[in-house]
Amino acid sequence: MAAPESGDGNNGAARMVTLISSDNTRFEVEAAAASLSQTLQLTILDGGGGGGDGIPLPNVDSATLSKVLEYCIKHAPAAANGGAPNATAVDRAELERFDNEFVNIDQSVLYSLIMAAHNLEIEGLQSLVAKKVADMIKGKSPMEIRRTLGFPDPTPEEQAEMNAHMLEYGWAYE
Amino acid sequence: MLAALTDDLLQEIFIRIATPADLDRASATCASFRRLITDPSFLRRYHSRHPPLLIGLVSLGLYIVEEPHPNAAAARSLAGAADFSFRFVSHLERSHRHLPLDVCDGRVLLQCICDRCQWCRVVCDPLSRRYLVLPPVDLDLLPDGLRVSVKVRGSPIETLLVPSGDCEKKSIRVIAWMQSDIEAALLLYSSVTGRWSFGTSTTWDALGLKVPPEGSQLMFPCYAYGCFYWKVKSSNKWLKFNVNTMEFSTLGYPPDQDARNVLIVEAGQDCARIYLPSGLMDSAFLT
Repeated sequence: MAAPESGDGNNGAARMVTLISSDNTRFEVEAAAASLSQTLQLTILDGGGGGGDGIPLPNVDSATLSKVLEYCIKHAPAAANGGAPNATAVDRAELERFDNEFVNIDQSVLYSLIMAAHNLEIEGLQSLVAKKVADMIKGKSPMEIRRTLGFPDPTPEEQAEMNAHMLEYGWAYE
Repeated sequence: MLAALTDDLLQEIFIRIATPADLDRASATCASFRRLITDPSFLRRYHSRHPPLLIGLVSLGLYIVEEPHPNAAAARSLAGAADFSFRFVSHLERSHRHLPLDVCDGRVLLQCICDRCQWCRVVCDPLSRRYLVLPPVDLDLLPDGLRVSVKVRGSPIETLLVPSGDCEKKSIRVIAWMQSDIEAALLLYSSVTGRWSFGTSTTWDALGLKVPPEGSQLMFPCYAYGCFYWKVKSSNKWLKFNVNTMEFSTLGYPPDQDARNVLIVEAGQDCARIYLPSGLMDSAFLT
């Protein structure tokens, strides 16, 4: 993923864009960070989002957008280096530490992030949050998975189906 | 809340579940998870992202990979947890003589060698110590000539496990093939029905193959992407069996390779590839 050209000839100062959350909060952020979003990248390349205009994001509330931008700002430098092939081990370890801490959050926030990462098409964030949920499932029984993911308690039919599955495929439950 | 995610987003989560056992438990969570996880195109993606680990060789016992192979630690822990003596197969208790014929998806196909059995095959999972004794092949399913050949002349019945591939791993499928100097036939066992069923049969003439009248004509079975391949003795062709369409066909060797022993392997992107054991990769791709 290439960073957008800063074609405004404005050397020195990074180009900024404004994003507007669903509850009308304005966020000013470097174009390079916002461009981690495939959805925003085209608009930004077309010169949108600058000045007083701002890009409205009707599906993302301010709490979620602020979290999303925290991720983008942290990851933008590495992404600008084309996935940072020349990043040092220290840089990579730091990003990893950041990522681990970043997804250490409430499930409702995680859910909002999954939706936002999907709508904004931020590949790295999509992957990060999906992996987090996958890890939450790890080593749990079907019933524990249901509780973890916020399912209602199973109906008698569902319970019977789960029992049948366990009998049939017993070796996954040892 | 997370339960409300769309199918696409749920599959992006499932694809990142690290172990098949976890994936299996997730599929038991509810009907919609099961539908998404057992979807063949999802399983194809999952398997290509989580390829099986090479752990070792199964022969008369398990020979595990050793350092510096990266799987050595996994292999040791598997060897500690699994029972490759197959003593848990009570069917084998009296004789303890058995021959592993095939290994795939963590299962071993054993041939029982004892005086009591004329023909006996057992599929077992050395890790969970579960096993399934296959019923005898139903010879009435065979064409007349071949049935006589098997019954009277004792033509061998050969068997292999069908890799699960895109299918849900849990059902066990086994093929059995028999041949005479005129024809060949293939039967399929599925643990879903618990029975052998007719797969297909063909005469060598119909495939344009000239085979010598004696002995086994089909050698070096290989499997790639839903098809079995056998080298046909004294010819420059493979016999190919497509498990999905249940059809036999033939496939010519790449030019100038007829004198060599060659294998067909899966090479990614749904391309079967011809592998030359001399270490050279052939450029020919088969689809």
